[in-house]
Amino acid sequence: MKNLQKHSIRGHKLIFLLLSAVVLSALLSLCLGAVSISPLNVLRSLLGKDVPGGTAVIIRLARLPRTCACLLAGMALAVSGAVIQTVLNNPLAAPNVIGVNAGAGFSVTMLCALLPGAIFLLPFAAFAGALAAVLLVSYISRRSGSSKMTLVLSGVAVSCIFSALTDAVITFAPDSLVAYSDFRIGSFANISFQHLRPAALVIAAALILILLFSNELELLSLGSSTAASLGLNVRAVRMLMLVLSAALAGAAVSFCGLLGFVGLVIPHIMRHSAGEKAAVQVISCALGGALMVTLCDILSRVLFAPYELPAGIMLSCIGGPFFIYLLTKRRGGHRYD
Amino acid sequence: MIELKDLAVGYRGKAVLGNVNLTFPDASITVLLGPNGCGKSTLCETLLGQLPLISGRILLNGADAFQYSATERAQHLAYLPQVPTVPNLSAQRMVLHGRFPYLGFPRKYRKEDFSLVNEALQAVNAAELSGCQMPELSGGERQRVRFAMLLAQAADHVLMDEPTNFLDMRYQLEFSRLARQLADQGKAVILVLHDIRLAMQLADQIALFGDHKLLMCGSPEEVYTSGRIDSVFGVSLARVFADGCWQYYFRSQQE
Repeated sequence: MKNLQKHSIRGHKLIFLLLSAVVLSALLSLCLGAVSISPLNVLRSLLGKDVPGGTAVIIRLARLPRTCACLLAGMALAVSGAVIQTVLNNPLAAPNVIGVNAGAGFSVTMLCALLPGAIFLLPFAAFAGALAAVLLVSYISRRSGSSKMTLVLSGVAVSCIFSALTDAVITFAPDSLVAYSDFRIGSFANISFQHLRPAALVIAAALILILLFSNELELLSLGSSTAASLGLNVRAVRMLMLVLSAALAGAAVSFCGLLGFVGLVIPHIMRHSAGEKAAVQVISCALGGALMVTLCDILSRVLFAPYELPAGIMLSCIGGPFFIYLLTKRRGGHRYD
Repeated sequence: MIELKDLAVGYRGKAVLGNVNLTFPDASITVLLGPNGCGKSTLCETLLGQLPLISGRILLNGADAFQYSATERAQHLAYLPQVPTVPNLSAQRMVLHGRFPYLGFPRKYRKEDFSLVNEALQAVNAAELSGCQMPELSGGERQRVRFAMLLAQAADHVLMDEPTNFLDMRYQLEFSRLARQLADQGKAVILVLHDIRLAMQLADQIALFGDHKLLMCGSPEEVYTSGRIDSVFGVSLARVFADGCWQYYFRSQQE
């Protein structure tokens, strides 16, 4: 009893810390950029008060949608990664590793080539592609013995296929991704609320459902036969969770492109620091992902201003070494089999 | 009590094990014995409702087992798989999940669940493990935590597949005591065991499988004197009387 309470207090503290960090970084993201705006003016213009010059326009049309996009994408990808890792019982799985991002990317490219104007359809197309990839990977890995290795390998294969298909579409219709020059790296430049609205709805709905069924998610980590013997409908819960994680990853990819690494690193960190409750882990993954993506996007804007790097490059540059550091630091501690 | 009536089990409509008539009575230990691949695990999966049965019936406390919902079934039948997954949870949280079949939506554990968990951990001498993470425990410690989880589930039937696999001798004896204690509480205990010696000593009745059918079911004495263990396993089983009970051992048949 005492231990559980200690754990939950630790979890709540972490959530509080992360939440404050997310708020701060969001504010920072509104202030910094090609033109610096003081926090006071940011707040004034958010509240609809008078501010000097074009500040209000910059905030409303550029920085605010961009910041919201970072927060949403980080949340969605990190939670998607956490859920996929739990459901497939594999810490190596992540949306970009097992081809979910590639699947979403393919269907987005396809839609852009066929129906260039249908922006509101993008999240749903991305979701369909992501779902196809998830189902394909889990089907292949089950057919081939569902070991942790075959799962990752089949993910790599599926990822390759979808990337090749994406390349094929771009070859035949070079203009299809004109609106998304940085799609394949992942970027938050030129995002408008028009892009965000449908994706935000999908992400919010998926997050709420995942939190409602977080105890079921935790039960899955006991292994399917134990979970089933406790009265859980394993197949239904697994399916629901895969669909939700595909929805999250797909929605994020639909507006920010093929952003990697968040879905792998953040769940990995939170598994060790957020305690054991699945609900707490999901929330801290959401916040951690939002924080990481927002910070990386700020850096990508500020570091070489007035030039701008796509955020995806920043994420990989920081996320990669950090992940390697985590792996070597934990050597001999936690094992994954 | 679980009754199997003319039961056939198998995968994709192909029977692995057929024509099984068997009763697992309350307050007793039944050991399922048979060589690898004889269909014991398939039978377990079917009992748990994870495989559709091919023909026949399973009665759980007198009613058709398939009339129970998944959670109702879990309240009556607890299960320990042969090769369980090790989750990233503390021992206490793991045992707590044994209470899952009793939860309503939104799946919040109640105070009495927590006290049941502590009782269960104490019953298997694992109270000191409660705060430890499962991946950090030894195989034997994990198995004791899983026993506690079965206790917390408070089902009136307990099915364990090779429960002594990871246990040192000392904890094997401990396990025998625990299994007997469960039976004394009135539960129907069903064990799949490979250790013939343990099976003969522990069982109230032994169900001997082989050749895709139930060969016989009876007390260890009846099973021993029938000589069928020798033919099923291809060994010769013998016994000596020591320490107030029969001690069983086996030799190769050529000797």
